[in-house]
Amino acid sequence: MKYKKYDLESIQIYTVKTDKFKNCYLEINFRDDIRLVNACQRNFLNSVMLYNSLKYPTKRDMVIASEELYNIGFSGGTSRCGYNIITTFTLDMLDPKFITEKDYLEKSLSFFFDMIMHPNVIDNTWQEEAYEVVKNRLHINIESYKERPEAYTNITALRNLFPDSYTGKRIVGTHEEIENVTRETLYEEYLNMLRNSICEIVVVGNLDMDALVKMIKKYFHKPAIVKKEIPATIQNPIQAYHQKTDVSHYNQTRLTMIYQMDELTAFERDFVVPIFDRLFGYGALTDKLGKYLRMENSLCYSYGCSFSTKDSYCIISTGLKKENVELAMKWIKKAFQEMLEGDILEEEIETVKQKQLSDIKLQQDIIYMISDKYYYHEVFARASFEEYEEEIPKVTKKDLINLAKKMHLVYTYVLEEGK
Amino acid sequence: MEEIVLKGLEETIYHDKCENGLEIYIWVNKKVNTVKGSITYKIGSEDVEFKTGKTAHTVPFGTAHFLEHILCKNSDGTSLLQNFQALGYYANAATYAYKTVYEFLGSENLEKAMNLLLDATQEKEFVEDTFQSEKGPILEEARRNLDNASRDIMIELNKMTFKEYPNRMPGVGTIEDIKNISLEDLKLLYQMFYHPKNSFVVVTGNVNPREVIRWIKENQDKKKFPKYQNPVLKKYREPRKVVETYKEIETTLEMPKVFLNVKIPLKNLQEYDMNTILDATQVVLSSNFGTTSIFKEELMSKNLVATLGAYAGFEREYLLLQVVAKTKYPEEVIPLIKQKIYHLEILEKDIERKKKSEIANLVLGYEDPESVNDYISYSIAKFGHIWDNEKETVENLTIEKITDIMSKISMKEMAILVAKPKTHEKQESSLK
Repeated sequence: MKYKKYDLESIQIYTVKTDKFKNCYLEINFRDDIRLVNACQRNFLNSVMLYNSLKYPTKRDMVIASEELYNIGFSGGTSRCGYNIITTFTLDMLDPKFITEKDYLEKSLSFFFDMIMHPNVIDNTWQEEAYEVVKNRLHINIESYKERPEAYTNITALRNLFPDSYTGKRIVGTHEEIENVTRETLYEEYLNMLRNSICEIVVVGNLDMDALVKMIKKYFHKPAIVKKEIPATIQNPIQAYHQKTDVSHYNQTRLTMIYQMDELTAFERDFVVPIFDRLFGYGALTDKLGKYLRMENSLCYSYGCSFSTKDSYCIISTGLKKENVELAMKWIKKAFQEMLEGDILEEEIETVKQKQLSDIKLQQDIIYMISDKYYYHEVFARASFEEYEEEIPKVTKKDLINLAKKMHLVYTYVLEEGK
Repeated sequence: MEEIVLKGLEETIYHDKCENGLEIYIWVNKKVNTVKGSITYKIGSEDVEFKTGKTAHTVPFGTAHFLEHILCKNSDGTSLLQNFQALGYYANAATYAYKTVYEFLGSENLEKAMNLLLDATQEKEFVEDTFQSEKGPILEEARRNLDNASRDIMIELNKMTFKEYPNRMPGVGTIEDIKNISLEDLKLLYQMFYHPKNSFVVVTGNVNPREVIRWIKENQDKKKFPKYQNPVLKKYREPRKVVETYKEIETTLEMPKVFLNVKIPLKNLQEYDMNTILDATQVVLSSNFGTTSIFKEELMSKNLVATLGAYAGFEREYLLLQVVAKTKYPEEVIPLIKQKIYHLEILEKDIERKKKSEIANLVLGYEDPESVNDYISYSIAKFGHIWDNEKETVENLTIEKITDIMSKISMKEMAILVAKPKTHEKQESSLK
């Protein structure tokens, strides 16, 4: 894989040339400080821009055009990394070598950037149909997480624990926030994004990257140079332990426990956390939570432990019978205590490190993972594949114990099964 | 070693067979690190009734799935997955309606991982304690599934559409089924179906096919298997009519969904191969209900539906067309969908465009070792062979062919299910 950066002043382009894939992937990210942006409106804008454009005034027209280009995929999403809000548009197309049609690459780029540069706006107002359809869809999205008990429990637990922090907020927003977005404010948000957001592009594929960058320059213009330092981690104040129980209409009880973390070093964040996770509760039945919750005590089917280093917490979640909640909490605490005391065999640590290294190799076979890792490495100074390979073997038991010492159980949320 | 060349895709699948009957399929991608290995047993969650000679056997629903869980445990009760982890591999297993698959994913120590997979599934020692301790997690899995609206809906729809097919039960079994499964049931299924003659291995990714075949054959040559009893799965005589034409249910949805199933006997389409039937119907459904259809555009712009899609698939001797809409207004939307399904349209320019899309999908389909492995396993277990002419089939689709296929399809047997959100009391809250 050949990595190359292009500094176009108002746009940074990161390219990875590789012949591993039959497709090529491009993403453009508009990055801003969430404290200065209406996140719900930015997310709305993202969706509405993907719906249609001035050239293709309906969603149907857009998809017909994409099918003509051998089903190129165009998609996107709005995410958050610490205080960064990232609005992403992606293009997924066949490697042009598989297409006999002339100018396939250029036509695909033209289609994609046209959607970004020429949205369906007339007289500074967004087109009504796209606005209405997307608004309805977003209203539905707000509620749809309730169809998935695990997601519902985790989102509720985070909202309960961090009501005033971005950690507890969802980017999709509330019904009221969505209603407050108008066709006029959407266009203002569009101009704001284009002018005031940092713009970064990542491309992965077997392309002549110099030629590609020239084509990007031809079809995409970012008016202003923007430089901002935006923290990539949210460090919420550590709270005192508390607990809450709700009753749901679900058939299974959900148990969620949240540990907040003190500030981590870059080494801990990138290399110690994944090893800790695999030993503690990755969910593959080979860890401590798997041993105590499922293999030895048959309390649950699925369980999981997920670290958010961007928001400095770790969330543990499982589904079980209401009468087993206290027992499960006891075993989760015991598993954590063992991590804290270093009750882990050196052999286990080595096995898990090897598994992590193996996974790093597999990630290099996934085009989206290559793009993601390179982007986060360049923008947020996260580890590259090469750094993972070099640093993971250096993780010691002492590092794992030190990480456990930085973790504090602050909240238990139980969503009991309905009566 | 036989080479199956996939015409027009510049891809080859290597095929060989061990003396004991175990078949091997290998696809090579030298550009990646990943290797995926799997062994598929042709026994699934729906296979609960079978015969050996004149002896009939029945096991409770959920037995194949329970067996899969037990095979993923070592005899000391620890997880088999940790044996794979020690080799640097991720491992998993899954029970489908028609097959059970055990698989691993990694990059090194392939010979060891392959031997572990073969030995773990071919030389099982059943232990009562391990069996008992796995009941709890399986019961929790079943309870978790009760909160999964899609599963609820699929089972209800199958009940409405099919009278005899055993697809009307959850794959894991009901809570009662699981409680009734005995260790003897597991042993019976294992003895009958976990035989090299009823299974095949698929290895995909950065491998040397000759080497992999040698390892597998060496492993198999060391083992002795009892004589294959050739169990015959029950054949179902499914009537053409649907069981129920309309039904409403309440489930864990936040917005109502409408499902419309059309049941079509494949007998009427005997002159066409399965791929042609599937491609043709998919093109028609996509053009009439997909994002490129005027119908969907109209319903979306009037806010009558939030989503709309349609799919074609096979259910044993039937072709099943399914239209799904997320809508606040089922009463208004159902007549419109019905009217549309009775008057499907297709234009030549739409066909040519959809063909481009499908060709791109086929090209991209042979890239990722994980998905290629899954696809080979699916093709062999479901149809008994690998399609080597898929690109040709797509290229040869014409408006005449599609029109002829659609003319032989009757939309008469239709089942409509409306799934509505559960009416439930507000959540109770108590601070501790």
